Amino acid sequence: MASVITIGCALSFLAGCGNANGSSGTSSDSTNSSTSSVAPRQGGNLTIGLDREVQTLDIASSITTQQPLLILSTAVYEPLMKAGKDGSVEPDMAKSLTSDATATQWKLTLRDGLKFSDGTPLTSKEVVAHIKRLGDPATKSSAMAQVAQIKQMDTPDAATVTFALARPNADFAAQFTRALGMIESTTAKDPFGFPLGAGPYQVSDFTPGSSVKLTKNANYWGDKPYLDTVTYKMIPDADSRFQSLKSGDIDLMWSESASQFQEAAKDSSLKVMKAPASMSMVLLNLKDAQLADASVRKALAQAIDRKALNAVVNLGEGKPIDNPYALLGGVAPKDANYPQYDLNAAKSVLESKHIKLTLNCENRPDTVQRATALKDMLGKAGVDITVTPVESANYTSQLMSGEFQMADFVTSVLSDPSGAQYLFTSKGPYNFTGYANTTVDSAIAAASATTDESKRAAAFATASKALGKDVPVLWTTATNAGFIMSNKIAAFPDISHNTLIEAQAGKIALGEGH
Amino acid sequence: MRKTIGTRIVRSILVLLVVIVAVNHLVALLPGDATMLLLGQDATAQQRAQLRQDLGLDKTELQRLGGWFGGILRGDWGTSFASGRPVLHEIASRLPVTLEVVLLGQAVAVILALLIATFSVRHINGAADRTLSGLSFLMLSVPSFVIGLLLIYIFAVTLNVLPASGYVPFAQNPGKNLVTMIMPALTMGLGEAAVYARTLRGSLIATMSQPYMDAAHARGASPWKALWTRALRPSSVSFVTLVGMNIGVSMGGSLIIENIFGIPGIGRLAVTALQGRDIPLLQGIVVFAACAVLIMSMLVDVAAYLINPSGAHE
Repeated sequence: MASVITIGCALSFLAGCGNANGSSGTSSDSTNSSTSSVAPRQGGNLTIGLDREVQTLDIASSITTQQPLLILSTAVYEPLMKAGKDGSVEPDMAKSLTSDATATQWKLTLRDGLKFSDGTPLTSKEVVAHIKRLGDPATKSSAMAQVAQIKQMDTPDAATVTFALARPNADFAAQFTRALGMIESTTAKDPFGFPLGAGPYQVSDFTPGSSVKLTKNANYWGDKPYLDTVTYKMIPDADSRFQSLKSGDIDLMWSESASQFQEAAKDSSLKVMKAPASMSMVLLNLKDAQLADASVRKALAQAIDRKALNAVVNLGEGKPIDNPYALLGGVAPKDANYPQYDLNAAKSVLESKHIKLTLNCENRPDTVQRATALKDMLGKAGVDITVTPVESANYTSQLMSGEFQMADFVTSVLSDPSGAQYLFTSKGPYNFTGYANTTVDSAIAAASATTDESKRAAAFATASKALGKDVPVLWTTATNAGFIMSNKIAAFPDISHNTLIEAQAGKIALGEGH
Repeated sequence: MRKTIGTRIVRSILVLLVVIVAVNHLVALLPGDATMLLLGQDATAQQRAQLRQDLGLDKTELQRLGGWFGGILRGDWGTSFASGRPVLHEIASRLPVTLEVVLLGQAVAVILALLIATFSVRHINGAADRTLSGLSFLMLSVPSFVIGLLLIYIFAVTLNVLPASGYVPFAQNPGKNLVTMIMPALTMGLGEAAVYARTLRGSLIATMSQPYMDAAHARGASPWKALWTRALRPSSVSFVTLVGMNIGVSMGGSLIIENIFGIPGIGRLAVTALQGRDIPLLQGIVVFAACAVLIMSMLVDVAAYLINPSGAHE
């Protein structure tokens, strides 16, 4: 049961270049696109194969807001903001979310006519109640830490919430694409015990561990969804899920498998919609004596042929990366100063040092394959690597306690610019390497404190260059994830340039004749 | 017999106590932090400590054992960390699914085993017997997940006559329910049938060599009639024991079948609980599985006695 997001999925930090002061926007349909020449039609049922069990739809659960399940959770709890291209965010149920120049004072304006599925209005009061519930320790929500950054919330009128943050955060808007922005009713639940939502669909049937069925929400604010019903079947086994799609038992499935994407591309009855969903790297424990030397780390980076790694492990899907902002389109640095592949240069440094290291990886086929390929590459440079697969449930604990020398790490937290602070600032909660560089800290803080795009890009470049020089991690590749679907789907949101893979079920349509 | 049952009950309770103590200790040894999986990595140490306290994870192993055992006696098996629902409720919601898969699978296995074993014995050492023996070994050798994926490929993908995965509750649609159960039942049944057939064949051969079988033939019973009416019953003790024990073990969930066919049974629930470090749920499932094995074991002994009261049963 692969999971693309081993770490970042528990966080709901998302993309984002927050909009500049005062800018607002209505939700555009630019992300919708027809995927076939057949016209989309109203009605019908779509069956979607999920890659994991869903025990609850409550947004407070860390599982419900993982990327593979967003196609379910956003259908019921449509978020205030949605992912746009190249790490940006756009208003969805919100009319706008803007900040002042300091990025500490934010103003959320709701659309008119928002209602929960029972018809009760969704106003600023309900937004605040939802956020407070997520921040309550009794709720046990993974979004508690996000709520903790909010110093104060006010509701000057029914459509407005103002936020005062404890520290500047130019990417605050991105956090409303997941748990924080998926507003649940705190006073009413459906017959299955889940809080009511304001999305295009509501839960009409729930069989734990098996399936969820949604029907249209008659009180939905926006354009009526195409589909009458959406059924989600929980099929954790990737092969079984793919066979179910090919046999027609399901119409759409999440996939992170390069081989499945390639097989589907050759099948005329299927089509693929995918995007780089996560970045993989090798964390280096800088407290280890062998890795404390920057010249060794640079040489390790030079020993890795990232293009070859992408070809072997990702079958050419995905792309090599060399900095934390590699997926973010226009703001990605042009030159991250990261060591390029040069086996001879790597050998000249490493062979004489007789280095022996353990490379931990999650016990999944794709991660073990990547670790094995890295072992081979580093072995050619004279480094003796032992690959140690570790059970997923234990992996994060091991990283947090520093019980590793090298560790394969896959995350989607870098799908927006704010992600770098978690990994690379000296106090970052995911700074498992122990890296500390005041230049990086200052640059990332500067990027977070301004909504000026050119200043942010310059700060990202400064941080990337410092990281490229110090090499606290060995960058490898970005990997694709997305959806494989039947050809009978005529309309599907265009996620090809997104860094957060989410598709609103309300925008999916079957074609005429299906 | 009564004394035997009484002794078995006492022994079973003792075994269950050992299981409870053992599983409590084993989950304490599991690496990984449930609070990290529930709250995510960016939760503060204080938040994780508070959650540990709320979930009772800060207690000693002995305190947790006492609390849990007391709860079991009161009928409270704890609350799932992930869903917030009572553990017994979670298990009960999955039990009918697993029960259906197991019973249908075992029905397939028993029917196939009876046919294969009796036919083999009737044509012992002949071409049919050797062929069936070879097929039995083949079925034993092929892992169940291979059988399952092969069935999906043939019947779902190629012939498109059966659904590749999914489950429809019986109460919702009996017809669709049975259709979705065909391949899972076959996957379980084919592998088990091979074991049962070999066991029954061996027992039948031993029975067929008894003098009373010659007497039956002498009195005019046809070979098939003698086999089914005279030989089968006394040969069934080992067979019934094996089937019963397998049912008990399978009640803990057949993970491979449930995973391949997308069936929400107890096996999948157990893996989800393990991966999420949902300790109350995990413990509850293990104790439930132990209870199933112990109960089936007792029922099997009673059945063996009823089949052959004159045999030594202990």
